[in-house]
Amino acid sequence: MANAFSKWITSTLLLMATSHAFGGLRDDIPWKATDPLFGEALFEFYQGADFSAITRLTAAQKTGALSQPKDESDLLLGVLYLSYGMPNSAQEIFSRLADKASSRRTQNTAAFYLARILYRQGQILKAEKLLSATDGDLPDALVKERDRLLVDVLATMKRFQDADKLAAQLDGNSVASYYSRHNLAVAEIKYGDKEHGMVLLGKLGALPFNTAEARTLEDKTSLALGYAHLQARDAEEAKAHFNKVRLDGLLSSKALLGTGFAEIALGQRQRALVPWMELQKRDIRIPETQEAMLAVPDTLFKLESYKEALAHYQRAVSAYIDEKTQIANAIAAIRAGKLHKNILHQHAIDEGRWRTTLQKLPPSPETRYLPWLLEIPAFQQAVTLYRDTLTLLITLQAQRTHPAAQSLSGRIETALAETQTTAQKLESQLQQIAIAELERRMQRLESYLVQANLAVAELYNHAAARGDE
Amino acid sequence: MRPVIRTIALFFGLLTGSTALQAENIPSLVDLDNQVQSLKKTVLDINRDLLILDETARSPEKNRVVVFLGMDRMPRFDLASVELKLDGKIVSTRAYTAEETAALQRGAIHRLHLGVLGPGEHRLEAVFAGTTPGDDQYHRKASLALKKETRAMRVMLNIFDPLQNESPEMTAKEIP
Repeated sequence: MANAFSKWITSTLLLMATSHAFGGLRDDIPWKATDPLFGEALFEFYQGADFSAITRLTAAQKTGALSQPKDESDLLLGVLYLSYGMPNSAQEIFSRLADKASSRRTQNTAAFYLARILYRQGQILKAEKLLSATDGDLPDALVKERDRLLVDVLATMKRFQDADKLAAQLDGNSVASYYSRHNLAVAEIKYGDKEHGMVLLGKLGALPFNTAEARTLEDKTSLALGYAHLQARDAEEAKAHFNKVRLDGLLSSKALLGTGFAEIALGQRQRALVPWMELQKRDIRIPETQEAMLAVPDTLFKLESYKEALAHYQRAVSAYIDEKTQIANAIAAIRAGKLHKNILHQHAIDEGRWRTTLQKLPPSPETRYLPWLLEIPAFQQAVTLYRDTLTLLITLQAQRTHPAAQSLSGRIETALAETQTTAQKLESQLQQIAIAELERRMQRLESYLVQANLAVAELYNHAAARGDE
Repeated sequence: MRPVIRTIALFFGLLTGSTALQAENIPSLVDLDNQVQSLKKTVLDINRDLLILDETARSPEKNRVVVFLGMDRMPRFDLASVELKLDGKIVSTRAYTAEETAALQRGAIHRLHLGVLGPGEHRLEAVFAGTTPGDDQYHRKASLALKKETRAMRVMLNIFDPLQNESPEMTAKEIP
């Protein structure tokens, strides 16, 4: 199981890496440097060194040494801010350029990026207005991206017919397009024409690429179709989709649970036990395993296998009690600050090494639930911000010792104090999110425990009524 | 006996990532995000000012000479290094990684040298080395006579393939 959790962490970290940094930015626009100082910023940008690129570009702008047209250098600066996780600063620049840039192409490009930021902020109507107003005068890579973003926006607005039309024209070979079409289908199942959504999801078909991320996405599609068919009371079809989910994949526990539901819906209690018994052998931290530990004896009871049901319930009670102790220990460790001290604070300026460390964490109360914590969007965001803050602290400490720092020492010391305060607030936020999640786990287990104990009592009553020993 | 707990509707929440703890539902996290963005801006501004102060201290405007390197797109050429001499003295030797070469081939420009040079006549010589499909020790050089006055001077070295036959050359010229 350790290997599975390592894969889980890798996959979640991949999501984190793309969550605040808007993806694809380095290939969006075919930049042309007419000034070497602009070209220097590109040199850093193309290698992923956004901090250095912004420093170079803003220094050239401030000294007035830059001959590149201002709209172009501002556009690059906006893209750099976006890439470096500063959408607020990027938004200011793109707003100005979308209104007042001298060329239509720059206006459109800025409007596209602005719409992307607004969409993330949940300002859907404004994003839609901007995207609809952009004409075809955009860099090639952004024409496709604009359409894809518009599909996401229209799906969020529940304008499914418009979104469907546009989605049909998206590039079938791109991962991002596949995501958009997947999300549109799921949104349609949730909020629109459920049957049409299922057809769309079914039409996604095989992916034209074969990466771990793509395989997970395929599993996600099969799972979504499985549950959608289950909800539509088509258990046979549901089962077929659940069976497509890879058994060694991250979503297999959800698929096994669903397969059991499908069998129950088909009146096949005995067969429902097969996936659920497999599931209950898995790690107790997996919520579906906890659920299966009740579902199995519940089904055995209905099959009148009372002794077996009792044994399974008793095993569940014991496992739940042990797991509650583990959760309590994890909460205590996190309250003591061990999560950020022992894990999140490590290798502050070396993201690669940190990610490797995360995949090989020694077992401890504070690390026990990390894969699940890292799946929570708020926790992911707080970790990203915390890591950013640690990098800023290290940068400020380096700036403090720079030979030219004397005249800037006041600014550096103020920034250091503010960054330290923000880091502490983030530590507290991370603790709160983690503890809230663990308390939810605890409550769920307590509820399961009550149900299991009641079931044991009921089984004894039942046995007494039957005159069993 | 108990009903099966999990509801299918809840599952769709999981698929689209709408878990109970979405980032936007936590106002303090939005505030902290804004604070971190603002701190990034502060640190970047300090870094920009340090860079300007540092470069001004190292090479005052009137004596400054800056040499840049650019390169045309040549997918089958791997740049290994560039050596720069001013008045016969090596002032810069730079090895390039594959990522740096790729950046240059996309139109980025590298600052090879920032230094000082007194007024008068000078000579710049540059040699680049790399690998072409037919030669793994390929090298060429370029030179330029410079007349330095009392203002900053910028020189651009450009590696390109004039005959499109995978035999890159280098030019050196003063730019405004």
